[in-house]
Formats: sequence, C-alpha cells, structure tokens
Amino acid sequence: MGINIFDLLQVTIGGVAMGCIYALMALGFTIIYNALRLINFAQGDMFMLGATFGLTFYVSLSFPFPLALIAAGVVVGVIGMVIERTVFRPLRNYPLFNLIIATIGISITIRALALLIWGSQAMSFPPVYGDKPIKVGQIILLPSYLWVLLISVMFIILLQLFFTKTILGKAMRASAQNRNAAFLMGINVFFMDSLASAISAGLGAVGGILVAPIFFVETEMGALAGLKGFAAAVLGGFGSIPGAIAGGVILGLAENLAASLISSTYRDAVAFIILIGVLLLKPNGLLGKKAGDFKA
Amino acid sequence: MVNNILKLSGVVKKFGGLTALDNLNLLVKEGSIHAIIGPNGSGKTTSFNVVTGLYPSNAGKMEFNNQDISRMLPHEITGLGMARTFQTLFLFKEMTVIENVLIGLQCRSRYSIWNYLRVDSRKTEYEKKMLEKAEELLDFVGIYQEKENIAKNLPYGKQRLLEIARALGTRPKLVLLDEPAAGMNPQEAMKLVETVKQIREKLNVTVLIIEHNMRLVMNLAEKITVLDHGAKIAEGIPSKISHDPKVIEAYLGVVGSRKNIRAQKQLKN
Amino acid sequence: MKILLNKVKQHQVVLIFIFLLFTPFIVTNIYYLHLLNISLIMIILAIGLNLLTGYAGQISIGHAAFYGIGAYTSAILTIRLGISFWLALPLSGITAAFVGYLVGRPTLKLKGAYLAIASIGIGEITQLVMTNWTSFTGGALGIKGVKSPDFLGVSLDSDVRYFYLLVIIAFLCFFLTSRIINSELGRAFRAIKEEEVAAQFMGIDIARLKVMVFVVSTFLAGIAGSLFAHLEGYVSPYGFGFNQSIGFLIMILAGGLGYKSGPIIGVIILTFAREFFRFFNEYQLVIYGVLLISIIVFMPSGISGFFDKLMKRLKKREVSKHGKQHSEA
Repeated sequence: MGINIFDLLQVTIGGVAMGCIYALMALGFTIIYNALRLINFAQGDMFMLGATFGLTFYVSLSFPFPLALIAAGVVVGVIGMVIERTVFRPLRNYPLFNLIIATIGISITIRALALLIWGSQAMSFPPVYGDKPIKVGQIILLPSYLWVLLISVMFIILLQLFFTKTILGKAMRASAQNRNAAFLMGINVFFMDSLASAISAGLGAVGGILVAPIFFVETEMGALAGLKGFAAAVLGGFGSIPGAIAGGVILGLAENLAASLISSTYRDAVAFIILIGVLLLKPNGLLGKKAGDFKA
Repeated sequence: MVNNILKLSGVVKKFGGLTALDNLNLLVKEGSIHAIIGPNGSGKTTSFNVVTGLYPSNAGKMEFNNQDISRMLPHEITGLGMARTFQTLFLFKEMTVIENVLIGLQCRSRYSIWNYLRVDSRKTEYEKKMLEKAEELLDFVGIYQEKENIAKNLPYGKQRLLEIARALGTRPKLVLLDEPAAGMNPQEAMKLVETVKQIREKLNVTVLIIEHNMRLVMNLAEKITVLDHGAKIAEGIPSKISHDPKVIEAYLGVVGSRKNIRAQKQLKN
Repeated sequence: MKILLNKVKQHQVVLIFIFLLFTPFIVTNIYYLHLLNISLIMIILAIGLNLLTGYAGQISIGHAAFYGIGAYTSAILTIRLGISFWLALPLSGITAAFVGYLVGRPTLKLKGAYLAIASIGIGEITQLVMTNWTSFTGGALGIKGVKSPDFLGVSLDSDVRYFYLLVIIAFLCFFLTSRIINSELGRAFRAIKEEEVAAQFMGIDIARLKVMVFVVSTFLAGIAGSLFAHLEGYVSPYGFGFNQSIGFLIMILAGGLGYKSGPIIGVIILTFAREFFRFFNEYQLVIYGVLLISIIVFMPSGISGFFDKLMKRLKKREVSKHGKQHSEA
C-alpha cells in the first residue's frame, strides 16, 4: 500500500474531525433519549436545518460566520423545543412505537417544508474556512477539518461544563436519572424535556452548519448523517454521554481509515458494519449499561 | 416417606457487590404449604427468581423433583411442573382474562409453525377442551364472571387471583406464590387462604408462598423459613417461629420497643 | 367470543374474494390497476410485518431490505440462471428468510429492541451492496428484463392477468397468517408482546418464537419482493431503502397494529392517499407528514383499531339501552 505515516496522520485528523460531527449527532440522540426515552428520527433533519439556516444567515443576511453558526443553532433549538411541546409532550403516554413513528412524521414534514423554502437543488456554502492547505513539516492539513475539529470540540466541552457545573444542567441529569424523584424535588421536569429537545436540535444544527462548507447543502443531507449519528450512539452505549462522544470519534476515524486503506466504495457501510458488530459482540455498547430497553 | 419436591443446597446469588442470597439451603416437602418470610430486602423474591431460572445463580445446586434445574431457563423449568406468580403483577394486560389462563394451559405445546398451518379437525375439539379447563380454573379461584373482561380492567385483588389461575393452568406440581395477598382487603385475604388450601387439597399441588400478612401465614403454612440478608435464620412450624427471638429481632429490629411488642402480638395471633 | 367471530367473518372474506375477481372489469384505468397490484404486493409484506410488530411486538426498521433481497434474488435467478419464476418465487422468500435468520438469531436472544437497531444497519448495508456491487447487482442501474411469469402457457404480462396471480397469493398469505394468529402460537406471540417475563413462565421459549416470527415475516417480504420484480420487469436499489422500510411501518401503524385487517387497510389507504395528494403538487409531502402525525395523535391504534373501538362502544350502548327497556318493562 502506498500510504505513508504522514498521509495516515492526515487521514486520522480528517477522521477525528468528522467523528466530532458524528459525536454531536450522537449526543443529540442521547440527550433526548435520556429525557424522553425516545429515539428521535428527526435528529438528522435538525442537522439539515442547521446547514440551510446557516446558509441563509451567512449568505442572504451576510451575518459573520460565528454569528450565523450561533443563530442557526438557536433557531433550530427553538424548533426542537416547539416539536417537544406540540408533539412529544401530548404523546407522552402513547406506545413507544407510535412515538417513534411520530418522529418520522416530523422528519417527513420538516424535510417537505425545507424543500418548499430552499428547493431541491444542492447549494454550495462559501468556503469560510479558507482553502489553502496548511503545511506542518511534511503533513498537509486542510484548514476546514481543523476548524470543524476545533469548533465541535469546543461545543462538546461547553456541553460537559453545562451538565457538570450549572444548576440547570444538573437538574437535567437528575430528571433523566429519576423523573419522579426529580419532580418531587421541585424540578420542572417538563421544562427539562423541552430543554433536552432544544439542546439536541441545536447540537444537530451546529453539526450541520460546520460541515456545510465542506459538502453541499441539500434537504436530503440529514438522512445519512442522522443514521450515522445513531450508529455512533449505539456504539458508545445508548444513553451514555461520554459513550456518544467516544462512539462518534471512533466511527469517524474508522470510516476515514477504511476509506483510504481499503476502498472508498463502501465508505458509508463502515458505520453500519460497526453497528452490527457491536450488537453481536457487545450489545450494550462501549460505555453503556443497557441499550435499547424499549419495546413496541 | 415424603419426598422433597424442591431441594436447594448452598445457593448463592450476587448482584455486583451485594450478596442477595447467601448459601441458602431449603427443603420443600411434597404436598406441603411452605412459607418464606423475612423483612424487606431479605432475598425472598430473589430466591423465587433464582429457583425459577429468571436469574442464574452464582453457586449451589437446585433440584426439582430429583432433577437438576440449576442451569435451566424459565420455560424449561415451567415445563417440568413449577409455576409462579409475581409480586409486581405481570399479567398479559391487554388480553382477556380467559386468554391469560389459556396461555398457561398451552404451556406444553410444541410451537412448530407447520402444526398451525395444517388443517386439522381435532384442533377445534382441542380448543374447546382448553376453554373448558380455563373456565374451571377461573371458577376455582372465583373470578369466572370476569372471563371476557380485559385483564387490566380487573380490580387489583382479582388480578392477583388471575395470576394464580394462570400459574395453575400450567398444571404444576409446585406453585410459588409471591405475596398473593398484597393489596387485598381482609375479606379477600380470608378467601385467598381457602383458595390456597384448596390448591393443595383438590389439585395436589405443593405451595411455596412468600407473604407479609402474618395472620395469613400462620393460618396457612405448615412450615416457615425465615430469611434475613439472604441467609436462613430460622425454620420450623409456625408456633415455634413466632416465638423465636432471632426472628423477632430480625423482623422487628430492637426487641422491647412499643411498636415491636404490638407487632409481636400480631405475629402470635 | 373472539374465536367464533373470526369464523363468521370467513363468509365475508369469500364475498370480498368474489368481488376482487371482478375488480379488473370495474377498475379499467390501467394506471390505477397497476397501483392496486403494487398495493397487493405491499399487503403481502405488511401482513408479515404486522405479524412481527403488531402481534409479537418486535420492531424491524429494515424490512425494505428483505423486500429488496427477494426482488434481486428473483431477478438474478430467472435472468442469469434461467430458473422458472415458480421456483424463483419460493427461493426468494427462502433467501430473505435466511438473511432474516442470520440477523434475528443473535439480536432476538437479547432483551430490548436490538432487532430494531440491527435492522437499520442491515437495511443500509443491503442498500449499499445493491448500489455498489455492480458486477452482481447491476449497480445503480439495477437489472433490467425481468420476465413476466407464465402460467400454463399463458404469459401473465398484463396488469390484469398479474392482478389475479397477486390476489391469489395475497389471499393465501392472509389465510395462512390468520391461522397462525388464531392459534395457540398467535396467542403465544401476543403474550411475548405484552409481557416477556411472564411469557417465559408460561413455558414459551421467547427467543425461539421471536426468531420464528421474524423469519416468517422476512419470508413474506422476500415473496413480495419477487412479485414486485416480475411486475415491474426490473429491479434497482431505489425503493428498498430506509424510507421504504419506514413507509411499511407507517402503513401497518396507520392501518392498525395487531388487527388482521390493519395491513390491508393501511396499505390501500396510504397508497391511494399519496396518489390523491399529488394534486397538491409541492405541498404533497407536507400534507402527508401532517396526516401521519394526526393519525398517530387521533387514532393511536390505527384505522382498524379506531373502528373496532367505535363498534364496541356502539354495541355497549345498545346493550345498556336494551337493559333499560327490560327494567322498565
């Protein structure tokens, strides 16, 4: 194989960068699962909405990129909150299977609305990260991946700080662990649900806008990203926050390594082969206690 | 000589660092009504879960009807003739009462798909016979009039009786009842005593029962095993157990407090 | 009595069958007849999926993959190996069922929705293999020239002729699965759905029965796939992906999980509803999504469940009315 150590390093950094995006998606799945015991198949569409709103803010409204990023995150977060209030909360006592299908209904509706607003054409996002490769010795690094890596790691750290240092974050964790006890302690568990839905959606949106300058922006872009984020969450152990991060990074790395070392044809299959492998060998994931304790 | 239908020797069950069953030995005589009592968290329900194969044991040997069941799965053990009820009800909630019992009755069916695709005239007759048996059992526990109702709509006490009927449907030699009187009012509990006695007299089924209602236990059981912290601390006939200071202490904490003396009186009754 | 009721209904089923025989004379628009044919194929799959999800409570989010495996198996067997359709049809079912066994065996042994998760993965992998293994599957273009089957020298090459084949097979599937549903086995499946722990203590080997029902449902999906390939005359990766898997789940949920009529009603209503929504042009998907959420909110047990409950309530009211008259007299 004609691959040297420097290429390998480059592939690794690219993989970890994509892995961080998967981690953001996996965190979205995890946070909403912890709060509502729900697999939210509309998570991929939050990713898409992040990219499309980001494009509108950055190009049409000429926001600076950091502001566009935050604005997209906030707008999509609000959408997440609205979904929780209008669909998830009224359906709280419905069979879980119905709820899962409801998230798919949301996904279909959002995608259709996005199609009406932004059209079916793939749009390109201006190159905000700059396209001059950075040379460090013999290693050639694309600035886009470095920026993606940097910003997503920042968001992951912020999230960790939120969960461990703030009262609100602690309250959210408490309500995820034992809803009734949290309720009795005076925590507004319903607000925690809304917040969880908003944070999940916002994280998805950040992932979407971060990769928008690298790929094209289109209304179908969330489907595969959503499923890969889901695979990452399962790999890490569904419901575990450190697991989601680890799962995402491992997935991104494995995907990039497999694509460059073996064949890029089945690049997208790597995530799902890992998913099946995990279920066969370690069904509770790397860091999870018990995955998939839900039924129809 | 009377046979021991259930024999546990040195059974250990650990959950992580917690020892839920500590070297438990137990002999249940065939044809007896045997009670297990003990304070909350003493391992009573765990002992049922281990015996019936729901949890694998960490050590020890369990024999049912002279057959080693230590490594068997719940459905295999049920097939040998051991049935149980649950402290936290596990009925098939959306099904009718009679369907719940029918599932118990069909427990030795070989579920091969070809059997059910084939047209077979004997099948309707078989179904009819099953229905009759199910109705008999519902009558036996006294909820025949509810047979077409959905299980989850029954009042709590009747749900408990349905669990018993369903367990009896599997035609067991030994039935394990986990707090069957919990949530029943005194009249219902009195009727339950009669039903449990009938299970032994009429159906010739050995009964192993966990119960908190002391009056009920003293009325029913021929032998009582007392558990504390997963270990057996006393065993014997009811009158002996109710006077055993070790039992009183384990059960009631410090001997001599006002609350305990009252409880002790209750125990003696 | 549920058991007796099912027997009365058999007369109605015969009537429906006779009605269906005349359908091609009523539905003369070839496009709608084609849509009806597609619906019949999906009904075969949905019947299996309803057995799995509606009765046994196991979720598969990858059934389109088994549908696709059936379609490709049939296409490859008949074109490359020149095997007759009548042999390829069961072989497609068996191939899909075999893959189903390989997936179901390890994942259904565990408690929890591992099958749901694994089936997503299998669905995506199958899709990628179909698209990328060009030498075997024809890649994105798929395989063209799948022939219509012959029956006693008559080629079933028109939608009208194919309709009769589909009606017969769909009825056969309906009857055979109904036999299972009405039997002890069906009751055991429902017990697993309701309360897995208790089901074990009723002597049910839950792992074995779950694998069994999954294999049956993937077999039916494979059969449906084969029929689809020979109706359309080609196979391609489109229509066997995640969205289609979800589409099947939506159909059985909208029709009514755990109702025998559920898959039939769900497939027909959703297929023709989507056709109707075409009039709304670019808004059609929005309406479809909103309709879906509304069905879940307002009819949580699906259309069949909704009417079943309505009928029961009416009957109860009638009984109580009679009771009143009785007491007045």
